[in-house]
Amino acid sequence: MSADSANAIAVSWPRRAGATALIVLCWLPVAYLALLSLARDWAFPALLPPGLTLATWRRALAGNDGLVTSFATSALIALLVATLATAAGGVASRVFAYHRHRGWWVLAMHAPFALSPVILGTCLLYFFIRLGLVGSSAGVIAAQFIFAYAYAVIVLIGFWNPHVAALEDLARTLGAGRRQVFQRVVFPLARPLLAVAFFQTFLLSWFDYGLAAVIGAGKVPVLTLRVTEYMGSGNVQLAAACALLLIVPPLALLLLNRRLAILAA
Amino acid sequence: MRIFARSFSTEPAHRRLRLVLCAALAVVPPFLGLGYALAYSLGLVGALATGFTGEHWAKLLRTSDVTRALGFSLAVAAVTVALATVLALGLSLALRRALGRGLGATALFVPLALPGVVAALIGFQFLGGAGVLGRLAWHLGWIAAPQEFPALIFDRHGLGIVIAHTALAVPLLMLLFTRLHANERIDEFAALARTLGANRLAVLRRVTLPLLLRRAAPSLSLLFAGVFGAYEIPLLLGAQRPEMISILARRKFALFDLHQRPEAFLIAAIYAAIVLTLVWIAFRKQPPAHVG
Repeated sequence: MSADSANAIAVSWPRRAGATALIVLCWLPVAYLALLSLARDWAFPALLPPGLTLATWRRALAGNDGLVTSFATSALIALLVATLATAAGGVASRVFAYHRHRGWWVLAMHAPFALSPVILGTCLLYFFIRLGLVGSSAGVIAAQFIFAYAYAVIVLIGFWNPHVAALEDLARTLGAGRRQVFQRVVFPLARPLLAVAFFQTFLLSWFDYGLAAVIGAGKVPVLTLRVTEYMGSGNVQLAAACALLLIVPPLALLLLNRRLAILAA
Repeated sequence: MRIFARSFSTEPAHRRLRLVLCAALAVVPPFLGLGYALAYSLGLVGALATGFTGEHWAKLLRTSDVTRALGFSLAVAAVTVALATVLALGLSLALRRALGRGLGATALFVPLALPGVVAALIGFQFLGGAGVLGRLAWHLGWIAAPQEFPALIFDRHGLGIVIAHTALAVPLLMLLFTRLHANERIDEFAALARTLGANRLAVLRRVTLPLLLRRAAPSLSLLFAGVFGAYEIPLLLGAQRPEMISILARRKFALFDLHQRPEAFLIAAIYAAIVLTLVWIAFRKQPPAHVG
């Protein structure tokens, strides 16, 4: 008998019922959004929609509302931010990790990460205006990079430990050059954590609303802004479709790669 | 073997430059922004700057909306963190084994994929008078019209904001507590305490909770900071009065009346001071800086 099945037998029925209720509650928002995006005339007090239709999705994917463009814009910005932040964070985390004030650097990296993007974005708006970056994708990318870079350093700094340093030294002792040490030793070891940093910084950008609203001045049509636009105009069906477009890619990644999910959590 | 930890003073110039550049990327923008905010609030910069003045800070003591927003934001953050911690602790301790490693554990990852705007949309759809809960109440005969449903969103107590943030935080904290439970070998310590005569309540009170809460304190502090400065959920589910601090700062900044702008920056400076102090307190007891 496996340990899991032994556990399953030991668990009482109220706890099993509680766990089932929790699983349902966790999935409920996704199921509800899917139903809402397919609903036709779902008015109060009906608990379920009287009929289902693909009209909302046809409209969303037709391109007239610009949802496809928003999806592509969000994806492109998030991929760029994640790539830049992970690469720069990888380099910086090594610099900070091997410094004698490592703890202070980790603390300093929490400063941008802990601050509200809307408030920091408002404080930095003057400088972004002077640089001509307000209302542009480049401005949103630059603003998100500040947060994503700090977060990537926090995620990656734990990688640089005495064991990795010893392996680097060993490789050098055996005649490896700097590039070989990176390609053959450091990168293969760091790959799982780099994937986590990339995924987390991607999410940071993909989920961002505040910086897109303040630095993007609402002119960079990312998906998060579209959800609020549709909510504001009372079109909850399109808002639900837009919300699903926002949550399905990260959800699929989390569920497909449990290791990534566990590390990310 | 080379010395693992290096000091700044003994670094070669190119390494020092690299350190400065790496630090500047993360540290300069926030402090530049906050420095600008502080200077603006003191009348040193900005379109209407007339030189150093403490007028805006003195005015802060007289204006109720800033202090009310600060108090409201702190209260919402404190209640959310307390509620989410109690729920997550209770659920993770009670359902840890029942959730197992399969479908249950996977389900806890689902809320991680929900951004604030989507949480606000779901909150709006569930908690509004004509929402899911209102419809259930109508079918149960508790209300005859959506207006009779108690105000859970756009309410002056911030119930909708607290509920939405708590719902997002509980699964994340459950994952954290479950992981800490395993990493901190709490089952082993609990077994030892029981062997020494402690009952279940004493084990919970003296072993499990102190260990879990102490290790989770930095994450809980970040959660507090996140809710304190939250924008999307209060914007979409909050009342016009009282406002959360981010909403007030943004509103005062966006007003046509430029005289309101120093107050927006003053709010930003106070907010940053509170959050950075909190982060410093939470993370100053990190593992030692020296490695190796």
